[in-house]
Order: sequence, then C-alpha cells, then structure tokens
Amino acid sequence: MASDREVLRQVWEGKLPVCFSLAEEELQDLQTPDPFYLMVPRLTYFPLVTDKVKRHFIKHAHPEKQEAEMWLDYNGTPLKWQYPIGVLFDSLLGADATLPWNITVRFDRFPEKELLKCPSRDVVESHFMSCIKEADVLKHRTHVATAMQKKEHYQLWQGLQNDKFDQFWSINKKLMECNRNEGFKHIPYRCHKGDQFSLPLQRLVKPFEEPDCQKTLGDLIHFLLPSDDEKSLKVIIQGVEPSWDTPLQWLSEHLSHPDNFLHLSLHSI
Amino acid sequence: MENSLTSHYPGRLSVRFRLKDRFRGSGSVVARLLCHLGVFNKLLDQNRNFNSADEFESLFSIIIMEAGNAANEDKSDSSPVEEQPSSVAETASDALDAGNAAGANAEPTKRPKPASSDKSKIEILLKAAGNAPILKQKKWIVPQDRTIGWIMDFIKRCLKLEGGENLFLYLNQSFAPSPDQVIANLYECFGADGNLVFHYSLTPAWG
Repeated sequence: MASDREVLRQVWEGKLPVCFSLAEEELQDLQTPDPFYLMVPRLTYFPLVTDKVKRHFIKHAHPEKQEAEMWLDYNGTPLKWQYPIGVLFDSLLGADATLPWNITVRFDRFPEKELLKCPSRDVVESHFMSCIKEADVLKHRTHVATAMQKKEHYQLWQGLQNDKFDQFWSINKKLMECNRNEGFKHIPYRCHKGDQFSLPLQRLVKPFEEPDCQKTLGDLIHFLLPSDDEKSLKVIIQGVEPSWDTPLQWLSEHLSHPDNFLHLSLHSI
Repeated sequence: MENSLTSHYPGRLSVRFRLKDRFRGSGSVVARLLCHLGVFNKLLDQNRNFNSADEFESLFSIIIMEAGNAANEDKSDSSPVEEQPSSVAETASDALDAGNAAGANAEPTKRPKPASSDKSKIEILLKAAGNAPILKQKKWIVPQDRTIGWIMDFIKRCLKLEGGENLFLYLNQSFAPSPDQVIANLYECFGADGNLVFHYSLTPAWG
C-alpha cells in the first residue's frame, strides 16, 4: 500500500510549463500566431490537454489541413503521445532542461513511421487501461485490474483526465496492494534514453531478494547495464534523481505514473 | 518434370523463390512457398508470369516477406520438410520468373532451427479469439526487434483484412500491448515455454 501519501500528492501535482508554436513552414498568413503557453501536468498525456492548442493554431494552418491530426515535435523529434508528458520531458531534455519547454505544433506530413495515430480520447483510454493491466499482470499473481468492475476502470480514467487525485487513488491503491514481506511479484518499469523509448531492457525483476532484503534502484541498473554506475549514468524518475539506494518496491508504489509503470529516463554523463 | 518431382519429393515441398524487383517496390523479396506437390506442379505446367506479388500470393497460400525475415513451417505439422537441391528450385524459379533466370538463386531450405539456438529470433504463437478466423499456420519465428505493430500488420495480411477493419492483439489474455512495443521486451516478461502466445480478434475481447 502506498503509505507515503505526501509523496503521492507531490508527484500528482507535478507540472511543466510549455510554450507551443506553430511550425514556420506551415504558416499561411503573414501574421504569425502568438505562441500558446500552457501549464501541463506531468502525469497526463498530450492528447488530453491540447484541444485548446489545436483550436488556437488550426486557423493559421493550410486550409486543406483543417481535419488533419495535430502532432508535436521537440527539436525535430516527434513526440510520442503514448508516453506521459513528464516521461517525454525527462528523457528528451532531462539533462539540461530549460523552461518553458518549447514545442512545435504541426498539421502537415504526419510521420506515420514514428508516431501512432490518435484520432480520439478513446484511443488514449484504451492505451492507458492496457498499460495498467500489463503492470497488474507483472505485479500480482491474481489479477486485480481484470477483476475490477467497469466503473472502477472508468474512475481511474476519469481521475486522470480530470486531474482528481482522490478519485484516482481511491481505486489505484488496490493496485498497489501486496504482501508486506514479499512486495510485488515483479516491478513494472520502462527504460528510456534520449529519443529512444521503451528500450529493450525489460526483464522480470523481483523487489525482494529475501523477506528482509530489498532490491534497490542501484541493483536494477547494475542488472540491466552492468558497465554503468553512478559516475556514468544519470537516472531521472518523475523529474528527480532518486538515490540509488532507494528500494524498488517503494519507487514502484510512489513514483510510478498513473499507468502503474515506473519510467526511468537514462542519461549518460 | 512432373514425374521426377513426384517421385523424388512426395508430400510437401518448401522452396524459396526470388521475385523480380518490380513486383514489390524496391528491394528483392524472397517468397517461401508451402504447398502440396499437385499445386506446385500446376504452377510449373502453367509456366506463368505473375504480374504482381499480390497475384502470386492470391493463388498460393504463401506469404511474401522481405529477404532476411525467417518464417518457418508449422512445427506441429507431422509431415517433415524435405530438403531441396538447388537445381529443383532454380527450375521452379525460372518457371515463375521467365525473364530473370540469372538472378534466380533460390537457396535450399534447411530444417528449421529451434528458436533457442538463435537468440535474435523469437517464436510466437498466434491464437484466434472470439470469431476471428483461425490461421492455418500459427507458429512463426520472428526477429526479436519486431514491434507489436509489425505483428498486427502481418496478421492482417495473413487474414487478408480490408484497410478499415480493426485487429486487436492481446497477451496473457488480458492486455493489449502498445504497437510500438518491441517483442524482445514482451518475451522477457511474458514468454513461457520458449514462446510468446498472442490472441488476436476482430472485436475488443479483453477491453
């Protein structure tokens, strides 16, 4: 059970200032539209917070692109909407982050090979729920998420969409339950580096060696990347660099994203 | 020709062909042909030129894959795969591709290697869920860097789904992995008994 509620709340309230600008190549009139500033929650997904951004810029785009799907890029890297905003930021900028985050808005030439299409919020919801179920399969022997009722799934989704901490956590706490001596069956995590997301570094990792001996963040990194250590690698989770002595079980319960995964953004020093 | 083939290679044949580049965009492709001898002979008798890879594919239940992708025969099939000397394959290739005799250097197929000896490939098992059509060949060996999206496209091609039709793919009969997920990761976490079992359906089966 995630007992350190203060941490949960701080993580939930993390936000990033973003400055959206329309790509120069797509300007249609002589008048450049003002950039659009928005404070976005780290824990959510871009398609859930950018309706206003689209409305602001679409009228300045090419008339034939009025129905096109908006996509975003940072410094030429298309932003993959299926990762939480905070994860994208920590991976692409983490090391030398200057705020606000300058993001380019585009409507033309959707990069089919690099980005998944996101025609509606339902697509985000399906993806979000699938991540939760995947994490659940890793964490628990008997599946908690699939045993939940539809309205509980809905509450998780609504809590995320509407930025409602209590609504979300009243259900999510069930997904954080485990035997205190064993922790989760395995820790759900994903590793990202620069513009490489979901690196092939996923393994089954148990949080407890034995009942009294917990694995730490350092143990995980040594297992995945034996040639790296604190001098060569920076690990950012939720915008901070946790100590490598932090127990994995605690990290999983408190610093996971709403999708129930611990997202590690790696940077070579 | 027919008699020499039937006498030497009863049962099933597995032959590789090289199609002309113009059949399939850029890059040559190698088609693996799995069919019964009777159909194969029909192909030779006709001495046909195929105008497109799709046409070829529609007549014979083969999957045309890019060179380098290894799709193996269904191991659960009781009839063993015969080894082909290159001369037979070249003849077949000539029949198929009249203008490209020089380029027809089909390789003899060997008995498929077990997945465990080749760490860069993963064995996947594709099971139908709901009222989805059942694939004739369910077991495939796929390079580990392929994504879920690639597997979904592959199944769509096998099932000949139209552009607008949806396909849903699940692991552990509980969740749908994201299309950009690499199967190497999923195999590490959800593989069992040396393979990764997927369920596919045309309607959402597990949410």
